[in-house]
Amino acid sequence: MRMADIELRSVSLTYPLFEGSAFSMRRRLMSMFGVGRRELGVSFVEGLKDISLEIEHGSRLGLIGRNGAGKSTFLRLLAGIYQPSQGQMLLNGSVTTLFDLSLGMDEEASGYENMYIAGALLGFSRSEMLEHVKEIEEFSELGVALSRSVKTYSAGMRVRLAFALATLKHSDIILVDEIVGVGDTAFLHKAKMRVQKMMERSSIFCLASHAEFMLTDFCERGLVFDRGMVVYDGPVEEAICFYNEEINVA
Amino acid sequence: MTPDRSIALRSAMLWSRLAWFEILSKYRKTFLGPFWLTLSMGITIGFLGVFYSNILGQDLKTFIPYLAVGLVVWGFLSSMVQEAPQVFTSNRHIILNMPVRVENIVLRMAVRTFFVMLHNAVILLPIGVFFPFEVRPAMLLAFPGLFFALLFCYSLALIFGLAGARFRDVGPTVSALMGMLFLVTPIIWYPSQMQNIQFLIEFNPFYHLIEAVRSPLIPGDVNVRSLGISGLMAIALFLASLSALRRYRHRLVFWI
Repeated sequence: MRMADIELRSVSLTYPLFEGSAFSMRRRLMSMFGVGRRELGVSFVEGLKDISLEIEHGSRLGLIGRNGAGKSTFLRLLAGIYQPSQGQMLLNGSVTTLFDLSLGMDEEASGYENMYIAGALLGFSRSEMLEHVKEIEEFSELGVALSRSVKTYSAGMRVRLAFALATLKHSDIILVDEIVGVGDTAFLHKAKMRVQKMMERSSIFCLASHAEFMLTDFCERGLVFDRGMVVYDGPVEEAICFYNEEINVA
Repeated sequence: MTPDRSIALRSAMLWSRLAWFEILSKYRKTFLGPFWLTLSMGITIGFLGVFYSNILGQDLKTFIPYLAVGLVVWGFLSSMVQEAPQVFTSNRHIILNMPVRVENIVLRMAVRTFFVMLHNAVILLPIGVFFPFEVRPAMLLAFPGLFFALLFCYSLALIFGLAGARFRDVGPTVSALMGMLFLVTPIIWYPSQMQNIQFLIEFNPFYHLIEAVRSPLIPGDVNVRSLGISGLMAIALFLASLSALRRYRHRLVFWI
């Protein structure tokens, strides 16, 4: 495990929001010649506002906030998917994201084939993937179903496979967005153990969730987001209290 | 090699492998598999060959190989160009959820389309048996020709992909033009058959790309000029795509 750290210096993220007509070249041309409506259907949204914080090696961070408060945007910023429009972000370490469990899965391909597809997306070569096959078989408990095409899987089976694949990579920084509600209770317990193991090998862990038990189980420090700003930064239990009392009431 | 570069190279290779999975997935459970491509190409060449050699009063023996190579290369060029404007929007879920180098998405498409072309090219073997040709060292010049076509299309697809993500009209415009472009590019006819406006052919980049591969493979002189022009176009476009990527890489995510 390497020492990773992240530092944000008054980072803001403003992103353009394109309405249907903004994608149209005709509108664009017409407005250039002064014909038609002037507005191009582009508005700007402040996704994150003036965030300054440090995330040190060993941090277990929980992101709390209502829908649209900026949690996912913040995670995407840390993942390098979004760049800050103002301010600076310094990040040391490799990053793994657990945002979307589908990982480019191919419906027609079998579970085994999907292992190699997801593997290639995650950066594993075929031979490296071979070393993980057993681990995925054990964790997913899918048995012979792994030879069948994924389109025959139930939602729960899909999640088992996807989760096993998404958690293969060990990185210094792990970013997770809302993964509750995966499978049955037995699986949830297993998933928790696996994330725990993954966390132990990582330097920074960052989880956005609405489930209090997830936050308290996995995180130590809590950041409360509201309309793109970090309004509270402190121990996770206190952050949850703050959120429930100050933000979630209205 | 710097570690950053070697990671880039490694991930580029992994994405190329993903291209193969895409082909497999498309032809899964079919009897012929990807060789459906070969078969349909064979049928097209057979019909077009017989019809057009007749219409144009050309010798079937020289026309079929000319047509076959032209169609195989055209198939590659046109599917790259037509798919390009959607390359990023159709991979939205990946771009938004994983830290990826977006050029790898284009690379995967280019490699997949190239594999498809290789399957199409299998049809050239029986054609070579039916219409015997002389094997000559100049045929090797088709390889740089192919490389330039690949580089050209990769770069064009990157630029069209960015443009098509920002302006959704790019896709329909491109597909409207490609059908016409097929007819004005010397594939089912010879450049020499053009009467008064032969010089216009020279302005068609696809003509040069096709000639660079076709002329070494069929009897007659190798069109070194087109090979050179293809190389220059490919390099120029590649540089342009690098600068477009540098400029718009971080904005792309807001467009898709």
